[in-house]
Amino acid sequence: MLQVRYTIRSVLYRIGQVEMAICAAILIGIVLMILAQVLLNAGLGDPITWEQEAGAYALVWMTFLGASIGLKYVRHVTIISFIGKLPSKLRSLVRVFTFGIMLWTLYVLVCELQLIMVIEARSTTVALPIDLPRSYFFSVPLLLSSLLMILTLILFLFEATLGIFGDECPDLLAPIMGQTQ
Amino acid sequence: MIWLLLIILALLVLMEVPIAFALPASALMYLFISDGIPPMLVVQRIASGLESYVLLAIPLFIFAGNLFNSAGIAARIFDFAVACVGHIRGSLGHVNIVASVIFSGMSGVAQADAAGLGAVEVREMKRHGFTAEFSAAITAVSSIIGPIIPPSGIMIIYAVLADVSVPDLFLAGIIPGLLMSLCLMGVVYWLAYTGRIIAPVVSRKSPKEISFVFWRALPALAAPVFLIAGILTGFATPTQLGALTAVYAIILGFATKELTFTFLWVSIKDTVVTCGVLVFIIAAATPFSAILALEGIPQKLAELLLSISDNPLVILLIVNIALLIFGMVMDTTAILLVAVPVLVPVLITLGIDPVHFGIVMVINLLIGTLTPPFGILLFVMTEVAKVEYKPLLKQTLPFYIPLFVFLIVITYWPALSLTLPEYVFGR
Repeated sequence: MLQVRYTIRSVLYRIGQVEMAICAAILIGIVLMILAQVLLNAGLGDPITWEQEAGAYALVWMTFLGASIGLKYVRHVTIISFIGKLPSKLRSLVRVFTFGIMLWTLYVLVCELQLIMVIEARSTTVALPIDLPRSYFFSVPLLLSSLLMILTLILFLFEATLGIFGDECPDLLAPIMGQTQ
Repeated sequence: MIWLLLIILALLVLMEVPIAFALPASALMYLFISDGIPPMLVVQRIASGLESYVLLAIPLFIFAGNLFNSAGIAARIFDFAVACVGHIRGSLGHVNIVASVIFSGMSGVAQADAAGLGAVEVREMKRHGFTAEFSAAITAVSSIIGPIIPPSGIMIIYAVLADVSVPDLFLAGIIPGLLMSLCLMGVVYWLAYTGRIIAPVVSRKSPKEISFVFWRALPALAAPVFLIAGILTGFATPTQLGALTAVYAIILGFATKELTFTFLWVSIKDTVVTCGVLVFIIAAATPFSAILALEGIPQKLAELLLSISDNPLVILLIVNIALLIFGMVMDTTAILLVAVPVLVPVLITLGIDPVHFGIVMVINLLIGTLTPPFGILLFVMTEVAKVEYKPLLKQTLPFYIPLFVFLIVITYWPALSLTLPEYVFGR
């Protein structure tokens, strides 16, 4: 059982690294694009017309992939209540419920997004040099992020379930990726 | 039926479901139970809720703040602040506040200020003989200045939700931010004067020493000046200024050889995670806000408030008390996302300027980050300063009264917020 957990964690860690590399590229791309926009506008009076639209789309991708990374870092904002003070097995039971709710939410999103994607694909981008379906910048990143978060949550749910049966170990539900700063 | 939505949300939050999941989960559960609005209608808003160029400023300013922290700028600012105010009774307590004011011109998230510059401040204060608990307390309190003085992540979110100008809000925060700093310095002076804190005095620096630290800190001091000049002249949008500040921090860091590629990568990673957590809440809250709007809650709340009183002063008092209570138990961004679309239309009807209310709300919610039981800054400082929660809270207590008084002053004296944007932009 331990070996399975570590294998899944290792796979998710690799996925997280890819997500992080994509997000880093997006962030650097945004900064460079805006720098070019300001220089071209101030220096040549010839601004990039699609900068604002591209920036907004980049934010959507970075946010949704970042949300998936945030889950791997266990950094999503949580109000700490009484759960930590519960006996170990009861705490694990509550965690199973918590992760179950999160999984259900993402499952509903995935189901609905498949329908929304079809509708969004009918309209295209406005100012970008090439016309792309708008779904590429709204429902697709959210769908991808939801699926990636589902993978992470399945692991957490599995680990919390182990806790109910007294198989708790020190790094149970620990962040998949290390702490930043 | 709307109470059902709120009860489900409260239960999920109590079960420690992260806010970013509790908001859409409660909205979806409500939709399935009430069987009215199709879920697709609200799910569709999650992604499109982020279609805003202005929101892009949030990760960019977070990135800039992280870079300034990584580039050793915090230590230079701290040294400069020591030279300026270290000799005043209360010494490094004042230094802590002044350094936070300067750093607030580069960073827009209180938690980042507390964890970044805060680490330098706490280390130096302990080295000079201050207790770890007081050092942590004053750092937590001073870090709320960060989001009041521009740039400010929380103000950008408010601006998008309330449909007000970001430059207007940024300028409106300057005077209150500086006044709050003076107010906090007054408390530190009083604590030192009455012997309530041990505050070893730092000797007054010679003009030569001041000149030396000034030149070392000058590139960092230039960043907020550059930012405010950019806003005033309209040279660039707030989002573009965020990117330019980040580029400036990178150039400065490499020029001073204090920023390495490792630190740059750490800054990028932290920015991505913070953006993924913070901005995702904005997207995740849209179904919740949509239900509130579709159920006509703003109108119902307006009727309720107006049935109590039609006096704007009374309404502001009620709103402030409600926000303070919610701030004690809820996340700042979540409150903004739920409360702004509901409150702002009501307050505009009563003749309250949305920019003025923005400043009131920002200060109110920031006080909430310092108040128990869920004051996020207190938790951050327990980690940064390695102190216990209760002694830290005890040391923070003397600052609550002036902060509440300051909130009342800002609430009932709109000119403090509105004078600068009116003067500059002729609003």
